[in-house]
Amino acid sequence: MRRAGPVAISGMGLVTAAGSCLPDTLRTLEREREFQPTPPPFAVAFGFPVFRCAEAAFGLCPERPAGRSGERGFTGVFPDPAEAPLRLSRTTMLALCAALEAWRSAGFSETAEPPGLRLGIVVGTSVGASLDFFPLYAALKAGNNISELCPERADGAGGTNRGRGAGSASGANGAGGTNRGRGAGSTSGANGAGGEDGPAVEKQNLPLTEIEDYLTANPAQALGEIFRCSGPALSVADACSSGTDAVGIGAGWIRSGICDLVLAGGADALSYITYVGFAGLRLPSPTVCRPFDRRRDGLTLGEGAGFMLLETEASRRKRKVKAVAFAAGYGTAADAHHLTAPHPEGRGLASAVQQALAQAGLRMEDMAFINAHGTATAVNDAAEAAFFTTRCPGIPVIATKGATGHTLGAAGAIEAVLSAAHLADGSLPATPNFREPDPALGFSPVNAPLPVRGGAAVSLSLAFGGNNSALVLTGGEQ
Amino acid sequence: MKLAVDGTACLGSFGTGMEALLRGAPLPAVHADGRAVAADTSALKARLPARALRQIDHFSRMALLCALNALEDAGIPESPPRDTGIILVSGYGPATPTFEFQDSILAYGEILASPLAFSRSVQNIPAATLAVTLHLVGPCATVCRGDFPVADGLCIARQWLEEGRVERVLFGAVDEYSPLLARLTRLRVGMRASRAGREGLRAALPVSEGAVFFCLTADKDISAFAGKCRRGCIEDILFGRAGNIDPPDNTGVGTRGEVPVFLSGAVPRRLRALPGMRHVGHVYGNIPIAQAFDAISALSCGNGLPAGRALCLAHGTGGRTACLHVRQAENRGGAS
Repeated sequence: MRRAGPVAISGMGLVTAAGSCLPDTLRTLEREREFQPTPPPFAVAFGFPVFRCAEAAFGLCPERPAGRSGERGFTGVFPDPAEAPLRLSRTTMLALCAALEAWRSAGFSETAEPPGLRLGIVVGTSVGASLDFFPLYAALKAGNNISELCPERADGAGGTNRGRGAGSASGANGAGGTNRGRGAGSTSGANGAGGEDGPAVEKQNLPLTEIEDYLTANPAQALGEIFRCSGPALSVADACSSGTDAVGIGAGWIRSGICDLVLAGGADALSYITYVGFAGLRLPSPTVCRPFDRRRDGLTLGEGAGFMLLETEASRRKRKVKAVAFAAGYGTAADAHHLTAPHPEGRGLASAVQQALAQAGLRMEDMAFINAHGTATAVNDAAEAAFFTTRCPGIPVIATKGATGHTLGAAGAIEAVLSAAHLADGSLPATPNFREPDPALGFSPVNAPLPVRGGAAVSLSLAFGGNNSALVLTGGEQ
Repeated sequence: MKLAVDGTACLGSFGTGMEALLRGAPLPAVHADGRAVAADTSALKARLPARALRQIDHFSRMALLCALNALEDAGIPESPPRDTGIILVSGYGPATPTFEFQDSILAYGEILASPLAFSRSVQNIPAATLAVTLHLVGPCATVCRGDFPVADGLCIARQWLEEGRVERVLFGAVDEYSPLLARLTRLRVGMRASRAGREGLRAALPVSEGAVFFCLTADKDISAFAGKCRRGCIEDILFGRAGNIDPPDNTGVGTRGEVPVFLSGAVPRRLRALPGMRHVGHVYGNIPIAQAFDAISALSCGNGLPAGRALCLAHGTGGRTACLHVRQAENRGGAS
C-alpha cells in the first residue's frame, strides 16, 4: 500500500435518530449519556426497539416538504420539478438530507454539478440496494391486485409508507405458501426472455408507482440524477462496512483525478425485512445497545445517513474554502474466515487498519482516538476488544451506536463524519449508554468527555461476509 | 491507467464460455412454465468438494464457476496469490435468497422465518463466498445498481491497482434471473403510455442471467502491453450525460463510425440502427450487467473489430452514460 496525499473534506452532513443534522447530533451527544430507543414503526411480532429518525428531520431543509417516504417532494432540488425523474424511498430521502447538508456546508448553493467540475457520487447502503418490497411481493404471490394492498396509491398519487404495516403482511399471509425453488412468483404470460424487442409487454391494472418505487430505489442512482452528476454514481453494498468503503472509494476518485468533487457517504432506512432477519439471528437487544458494557445484550437497529463532500485541492483553492478535515487513509480487507462471524482475532481488521495507516503515512501511536464499530453484540465487541488490547492499548476508544443505533450501510459514514467532527471540535463525548466496564474485554471505551490529544483518528467498520474497513481522518484547517 | 485483462470467462443462459457467447444464437427457448433457462454451473462439482458447495446458492455458484474459469484463463492457480482483490457488481444481487427469505416469512411467520435465508440474502455474501473459497484476504467489494454497475465497479478496480492496494483484481459481474423481477418489469413496461417511455424502461430488464469475470492487472508498461497481455485492455472508463450515442470526446479513438460501438441499457431503438452500432443483447439478455458481456465480446471477437478497438456504451434510464474503451490484444485470435 503506497502512501498518498490526504483528500480534503469541505463539507459534512448527518441525519440520525440523535439529531436532524450534524450540529444537532453533536449537541445531543455532548448533552446526553443515555439514549432510549422506541418501538419499531411497523407491526411485527418481535419486541426489539429501534432508533428512528424524527420525521421532522426531513423538514430541516427549506426545499423539503413533509417528506414522507415515497413522496416526490424536494421541490426546488430539481432544476425543474416537472423533470423530477424519481420517487424517493426513505433511504434516498435520508441520503438526500445528509448530502444536501454536506453540499451546502461546503459552500455550494445550487443543487447540480457545478460547471467545469466533475461530480461523483458513492453511497454505501444495505437496504437501499436490496429487493425490499415486501407488500408488493406478498400481494403478487397471493394473486392480489396491488391496489387492494395500497389503496392510498390507487390513483397513482404519492403514497405513504414503504414500511411494512401489519395490514400489508397479513393481507398476504393466508395465501402465502412457500416456494423455495427458482420459480418463485408466477410468470404469467410472456416468456421473460430477452430479445431485440425485450420481453413481451404485460398489461394489468396496477398502480405503476409501487413498481417504480423499488426499481428506482437505488440511492446512488437517485442522487446521481438529482445532482445531475456526470461522473460515476455507485452504490456500495458491503453490508455494515459500506459507508466506510464509500468514503474510501470517493477519496480514491479524487486522488486519481476521476472527479473534482465526490459526495461520499452512506444511508439506510429501517426496513421490516431487515428487522425480521436480524431478529431471527437473535442479534438485537431487547433493551438498548450498550457497546462494550458488561450488561450489553445485542445491537439496536437504527436508520440515518452521513455524507462528506470530498474535493480536489485545485477546486478548493479556486473556491477559497477551508477543509473541515482530511480523509488521509483507507484500508479494507476480507477475513476469508466465515460468512457471518468476524475472525476471532480480528485478522482482517488488523490488515485494514494497517493499509489505512500506510496510505496516510501515519502510525497507530499517532491516532488520538479510535471510533469503534461497537455493535454491542458478544462476537463483534470481543473481536474488536482483542484488537484494541493487543494492537493499540491506551488509545481512547469511542462507540456511538448507543445513540444512533446500528444503521447498517450508513454506519461507517455516520461514524466517519462524527470522527471528523470530533477532531475539529477537539473533544470527545462519552460513549452513549456505556456505564459498566466488562472485565472480560480488558478495556473500557471513553466514559466521560475527553479532550482530543492529537490530529488524527481512525474509524472502523466490520461487516457480514467478513469485510473489515478502516478510515484514517486528520484534522482540518483552522 | 489502463486495465490489462489477463483472463476472461463468461456463462449464462446461452451456455458457458466465449464460443457459446460468440455463436450469437438467440437466447434459448424458455421452459414451458416461462422460466428462462438457468446457467449451468454443474462443472463446479468437479472442482470443489460437495460439502463446500452444499450451502452455496445459484447466484454465488455462477460467480464461483466464472471466477475459477477466469483465473484458469489467466494462468493463475485456483488458489490465487493473496494480493488479489475481489469486486462483484450486480443489478439486484442474489434475488433468489432474498425472495426465499420473504417466502419463509409468508409461510412460517416472522418468528420462524429462516435466519439462514436472511444471511444468504445479504448482498455481499456472494463476494464473501469467493473470498472464503479462494482464501483471498485482500479487499472485497460489492456494487449493486440497476444502471451500468459494470463501469462503476471497474472504477474501483482501477483505483485499487493505482493505489498499489492489490496486484490484481478478480472482477465479476453477475445477474440472476428472477421470474418475479421479469414479471414486474413487464408490468412496468406495459404501463408506460409512450413508446419512447417503454423503450427506455427495457433498459434494466432482469430477464436473463449470467456472469462475466475478468482478471485485471495494472498496465504499467504500455509499450510492451499488447504482446504481454493475453486478452487486451480496458483503456479508459468514461461517464457522461449524453443525449445521443456519440462516444465521449476524450476517448481518442476517432469519430463515430470508425470504431464499433456496443450498446446496452436504455438505448432508443432509432439509435441502434446507425452505422457501427452493435447490439447483441439478444444473446445474453438485457440485464444490468450487459456492459460486461459487451466488453468480453469485444475483447474476444477476433478479427471482427477493425483496429482491434471498440467502445461499450451503456445508457442509464436517467440519461447518464458510461463508456468502456476496449482494446484487443495484438495477437488476438478470437474465442478460446
